[in-house]
Amino acid sequence: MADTTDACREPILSVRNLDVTLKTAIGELHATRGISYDICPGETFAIVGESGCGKSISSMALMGLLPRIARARADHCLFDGQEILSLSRRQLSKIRGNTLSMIFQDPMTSLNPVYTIGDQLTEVFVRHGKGTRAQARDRAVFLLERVGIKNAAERLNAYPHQLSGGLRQRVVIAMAMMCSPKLIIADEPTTALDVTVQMRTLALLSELQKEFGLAIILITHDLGVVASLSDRVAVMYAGQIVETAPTAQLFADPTHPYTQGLIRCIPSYGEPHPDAELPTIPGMVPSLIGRQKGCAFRNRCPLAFADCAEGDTIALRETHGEHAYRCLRPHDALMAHWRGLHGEPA
Amino acid sequence: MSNAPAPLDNMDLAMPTPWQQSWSLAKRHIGLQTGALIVLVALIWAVFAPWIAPADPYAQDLANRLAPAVWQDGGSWAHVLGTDGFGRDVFSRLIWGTQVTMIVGFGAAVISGIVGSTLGMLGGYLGGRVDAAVIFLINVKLAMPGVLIALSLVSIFGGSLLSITIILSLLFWDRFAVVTRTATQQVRTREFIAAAECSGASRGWILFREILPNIANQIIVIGSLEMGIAILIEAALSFLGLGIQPPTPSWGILVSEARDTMFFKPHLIVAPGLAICILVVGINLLGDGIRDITEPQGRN
Repeated sequence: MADTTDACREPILSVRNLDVTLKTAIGELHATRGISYDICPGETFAIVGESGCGKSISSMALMGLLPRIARARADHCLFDGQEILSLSRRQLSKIRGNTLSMIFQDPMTSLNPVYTIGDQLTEVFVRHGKGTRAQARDRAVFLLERVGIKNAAERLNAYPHQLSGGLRQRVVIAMAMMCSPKLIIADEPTTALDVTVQMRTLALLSELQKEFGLAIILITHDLGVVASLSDRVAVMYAGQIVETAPTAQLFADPTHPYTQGLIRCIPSYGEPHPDAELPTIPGMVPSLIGRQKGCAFRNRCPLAFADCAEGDTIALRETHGEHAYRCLRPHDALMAHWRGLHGEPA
Repeated sequence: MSNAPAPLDNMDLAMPTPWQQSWSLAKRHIGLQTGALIVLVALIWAVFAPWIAPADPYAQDLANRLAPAVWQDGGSWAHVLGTDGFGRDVFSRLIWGTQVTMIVGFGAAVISGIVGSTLGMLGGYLGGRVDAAVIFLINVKLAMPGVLIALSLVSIFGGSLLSITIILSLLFWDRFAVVTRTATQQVRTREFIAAAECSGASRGWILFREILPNIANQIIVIGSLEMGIAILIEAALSFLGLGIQPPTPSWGILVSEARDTMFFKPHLIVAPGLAICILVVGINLLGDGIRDITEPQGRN
């Protein structure tokens, strides 16, 4: 089976065939099936897909945050040379917040309301033995200023409810940076923010990334966010990566019919036909309970044919470069379909 | 892209700290002030009983039995509430009784609070088998007739202050456990708990430093409720002769001793009864008030 490997020789995170299953009353739910990717130091890797496609739960598995009913299995899941799925709670605690951090979706609830932001920022630093409280304060002030918070020293004494949503998300970002992590998992970091603040927060993330050379896994359902921030993208559908490519290439040559559908759903400002109805992908995500046969997208796919229901799973095939997709149709046929959607000659 | 991100930070810094906020709320909270006043008076009575009480609560004066209170015919300021069947000064006994009442009430609330909250938080946070065990303990406790068991335990271990306090506290931890368990389950699902786990915090840290401060004000409310109940049960046990043993002055004992004379000296039973009632109401007002002014901000 083709891997989604790329040229990078020493990935900071290497995931091979990650399966997350949840035990439910009506059977085993396959939240992710055979997820594989490598993250190079300093790059942004976006995982995009609709709700329930398994994009969040795969990163929860990496952070050891899975709910009790979930089990994660993988050929390997190497972070910084360590197999993180088999670490004990104590060993994991040494990594989490230290070299591996996470930014959560909702800045309104991801800070503890009873502590000042200064307490919460310095705590991580001291816990991981990076220095004294005074050094932690200095670092907190430095980072708060760096994320664009004025009067950082006074702000340390503020409580979360005294800050706006955008400011809180900056605090959360600063907190994730306290111990100079090598990888940050950002789970929908801007979804809960006003659109006016979203782009500024994203711009800030990418600046910090360049400045400190960290890798980011960006989990989102927003292709606009993907386009503006990421180096490479994986499109997930029903627990599988259905297409992966460098970002520019994905938008130029969307190959998998699902990716094509997603990109067509982006409303564009200044559309030539402003009255035209925004296209949607008909149908619904299939149930993830029990064994999946064939292609999970076939019941919504405009190009599906009989063979799509056959076999255990559709193999990931590579086109050129680092571009790979999970479909039985040849690349030419898929691209012809894409051009056809735009009224160009097939 | 410029190096300095555009500042979106132009709120003024003159926001009140949580203490200032609580204080300004307290200044407008009549219930809290009333409760605090009642509890404060009771505390002063309890601590300074030897200096406040006009007479020795144990000194009998058989020649001066059942002396009338000050507002009755023949009453004097020497015995404000008159004397009881042994000629002891009732007002002094009432003041000394505050000591016993407060120690039993506060002690039982604190001990049962520690036991119950620990169980409830462990069950609520860890879930699974630990939670099943906690629920089992709570159900066992709920199935037991509390006062009946208290009666039998007291008759086995005797009615000392210590044994009464411990027996009462072992009987009333269930409400703490039920409330903290539910509250913990609610707090646990919030993202800052996951964020704390992601920052490498241990389970103990998350339980006591992240969750506990967020549910502390609910524990205080239950605590005030339990303190009131413990005081009532102690009075009931003493009234039945199984609580604190005479001649130690406790409010329950005062009620019980006044039973024989309640038809022609009703004030002897009304005074301690009223004291119990006022103190319990005061404690509950205080607890409710503290809950109102300490609600952590920004929960919703």
